[in-house]
Amino acid sequence: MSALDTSDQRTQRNRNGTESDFSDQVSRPWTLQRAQIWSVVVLVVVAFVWSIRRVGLSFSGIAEIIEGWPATWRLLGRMVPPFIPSEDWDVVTSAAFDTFFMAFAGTALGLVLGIPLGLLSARNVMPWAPVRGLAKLAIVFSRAIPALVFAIFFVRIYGIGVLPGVIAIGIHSIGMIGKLTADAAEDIDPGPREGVASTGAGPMQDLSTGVWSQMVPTVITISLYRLELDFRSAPILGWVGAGGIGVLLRAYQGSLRYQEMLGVTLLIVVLVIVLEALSALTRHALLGTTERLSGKVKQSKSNRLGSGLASPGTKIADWIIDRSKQRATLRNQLSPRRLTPPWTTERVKVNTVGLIFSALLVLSLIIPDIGADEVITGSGNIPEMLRRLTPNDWSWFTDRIVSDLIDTLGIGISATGLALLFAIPFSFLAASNTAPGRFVYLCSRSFMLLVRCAPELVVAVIFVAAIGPGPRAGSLALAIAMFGFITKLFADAIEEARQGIRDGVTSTGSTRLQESTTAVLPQVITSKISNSMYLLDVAVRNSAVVGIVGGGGIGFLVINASRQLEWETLGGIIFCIFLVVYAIELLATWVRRKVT
Amino acid sequence: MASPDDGNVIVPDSGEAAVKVINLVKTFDNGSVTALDRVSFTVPKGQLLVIIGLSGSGKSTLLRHLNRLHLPTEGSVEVLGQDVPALTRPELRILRRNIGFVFQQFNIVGRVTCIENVLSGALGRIRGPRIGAMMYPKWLRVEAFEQLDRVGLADRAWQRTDTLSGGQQQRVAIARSLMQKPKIVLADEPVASLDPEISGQVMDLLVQCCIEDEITVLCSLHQVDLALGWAHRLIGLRDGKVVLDSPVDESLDHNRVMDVYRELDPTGAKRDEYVSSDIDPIS
Ligand SMILES: Nc1ncnc2c1ncn2[C@@H]1O[C@H](COP(=O)(O)OP(=O)(O)O)[C@@H](O)[C@H]1O
Ligand SMILES: [Mg+2]
Repeated sequence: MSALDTSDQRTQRNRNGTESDFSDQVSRPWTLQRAQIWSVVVLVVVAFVWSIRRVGLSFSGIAEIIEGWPATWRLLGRMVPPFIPSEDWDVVTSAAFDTFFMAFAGTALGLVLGIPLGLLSARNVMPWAPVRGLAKLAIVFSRAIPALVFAIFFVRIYGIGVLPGVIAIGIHSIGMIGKLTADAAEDIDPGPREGVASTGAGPMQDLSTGVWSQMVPTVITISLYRLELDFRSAPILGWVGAGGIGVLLRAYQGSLRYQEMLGVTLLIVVLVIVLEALSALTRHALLGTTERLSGKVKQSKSNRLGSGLASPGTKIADWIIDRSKQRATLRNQLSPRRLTPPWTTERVKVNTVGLIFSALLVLSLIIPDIGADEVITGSGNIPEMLRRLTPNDWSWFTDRIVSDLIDTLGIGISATGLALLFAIPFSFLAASNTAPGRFVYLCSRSFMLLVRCAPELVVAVIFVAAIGPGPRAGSLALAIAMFGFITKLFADAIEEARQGIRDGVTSTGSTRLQESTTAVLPQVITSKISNSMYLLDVAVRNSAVVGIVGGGGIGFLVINASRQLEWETLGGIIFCIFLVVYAIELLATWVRRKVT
Repeated sequence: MASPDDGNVIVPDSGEAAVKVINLVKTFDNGSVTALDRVSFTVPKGQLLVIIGLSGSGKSTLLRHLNRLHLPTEGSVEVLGQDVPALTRPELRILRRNIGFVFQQFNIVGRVTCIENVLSGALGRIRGPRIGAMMYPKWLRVEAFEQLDRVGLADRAWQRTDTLSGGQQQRVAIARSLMQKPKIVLADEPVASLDPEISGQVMDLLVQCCIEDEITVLCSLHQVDLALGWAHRLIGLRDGKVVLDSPVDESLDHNRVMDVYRELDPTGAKRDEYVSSDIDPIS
């Protein structure tokens, strides 16, 4: 960051020159950029204070929360020990399978639709601006509307079951897949493309040989990453009737069986960890360690986003791989004239993974029992539904909507803020190079792993049960989920901080804390800010839906309108959510660009 | 036309022109940078022409006009009897199929196998997109193997290209160009990112293959001594102007060649290769 450079140079000069020469220069001049940064900082603090008040967590009331803890503890106490009654195991297993295949098929749908859309919105692939604009619009819309909201809509169309879940996940996934695909396409090296163009290749050949062949690793990363995210969001979709394990969560909560609720939640957490480990193994099999770690892959825009949020399963997968040493490839023993690729371990791996995924895809159409007629009759209703969703006037627009939207923002901002407050110190404990000891490091890391694998909305369900419905529950639940993500991002950034600079500071005789603030913090601050903005973006998206499970904000009105079949209201609210989420995204992108 | 088995033919001047450039002017950034200034020359079929000049003298820009990676600001470019700037897209595809281009940066796809990179040289001959070497017909794969064999890399066919050394990667790129069965090969500083030893080997290989296939070669080079070894003719560029155009024989004074490099513009910062923003891809 340029601002840091200049401050370094200035210190340098101060040390060399006599004081009188520089006395007018010892404080940093106000530049436009610095003014901008500071106004943003002030704005952020104000926003945070406001949001805490808004969700009913007033600062003086932090004491109140602590006082209130006994009551909360008692409620939480009713959840332990978690257990799942043996007579329910059948239902739970089949629901877990449904959830898995729902997420899988949903991601597949998202890929099928999202990758072409992404390519259509990439500047260096699609020369016509209007087409790019349309593709971008679809991508932005699908990203801004949470899967749970899509699920509510599609449950109305296809009826209760796995199918609406698959479609909701698919449609929502389009956005991220499309955006990252477009970034990946725009990131490719134009050189090989020129090479391909020079052989006289046509546009489609240019796309496949010049563009796509360079994008494959990124697309694999994106797909697996999306699959992990969908594994997390799928369990809750049952809450609104879209099939899977969320149905059980709802049923247990409805009958106040808190121990069972926590049992199912823990089951979900375990499943998420296992699935992410599997996904990390797949990534290893397809891309290998070298590719994932190589600087080039890490640099690309799309991967920066992905790598920051690397799955907790990765560590487990690394461990498994360490244990089973890879065999040497066959490539050196080939006869030179094979016209088909030799069966190297790499090719075997790629083909195996391909086979497994195709099999899973077929299974995911069979096991959840999705009928073709179901799809066809349901889809026929879509145009009619869309027409009903379109408001004719402003009668749906009430003060309640405005105030709930503001609540939503409050939940998002306060959750991010709270998470940051705790994450910043905690991340130093969870980074191997700053943690006071190996034991603390390991404890912090495993704690983070656990926290991160609990899907946000499932945590929200628990919190609503524990401290009652309302924005407070939503905010705290989101804060915990965000805390897991942020700490991981920060700890990783700290671990990447350069040792040399730290040595430089330590050798001046500084304490450990000074070293952390002087040597490590400046190195990681930009990535911290940039990641925080990304997480604010995520938090606001989620805060729009915590209301569906009782966590306050606009989500309550969404589920309400859908229950009472007030279509125009539902359509209007969805549009409002889109506007708010998109505005926050633009803001977040702007700030991220400013600081990096 | 140069006969491949007669090494004594130095400057073949029979036959029609492979490349004819007349008063070519190219400016960038709305005329603020003049990369080529009224360049004219004619290259007969079968000639091995070397273009020398300092960095930034316009060598790349000149070569890139010949297969329309750039469009001229003024002047005419005729290649294989066709008016290049006026070609329609399908015609351009056919022309490009006949022109192999070897880049300084190799411009191969690093993460796919060597054979797939070589096979991509055949894209102009077939229809439709291809993903993976196995999507190309078998007879093309046989052909690709033959080309790889010529550059001495048949045993690396199924290896990822980015696992090869620089010189080997450039040989893959040469094999890709040969796979096109081109009539002309344009080579833009093909050995500038290789060490001297390997440079000699790669140049030898390129020239040998082109002579075997009776291909006209236009090659930009930094190393004058490398060029003098086999070129029929030298063209020197300075600030976008032709300052030397001479056959390589006894009459060619070494000092005149070195003059191209002298008279350094004291402010002329060396510029690196551009990744052009105004290429004219077919898409
Ligand atoms: N895409 C471009 N945009 C602007 N200027 C360019 C571009 N390509 C080349 N130039 C300019 O044209 C001149 C010739 O460049 P180039 O052909 O790359 O030289 P050489 O290949 O001999 O090193 C240089 O002054 C360079 O600055
Ligand atoms: Mg050049």
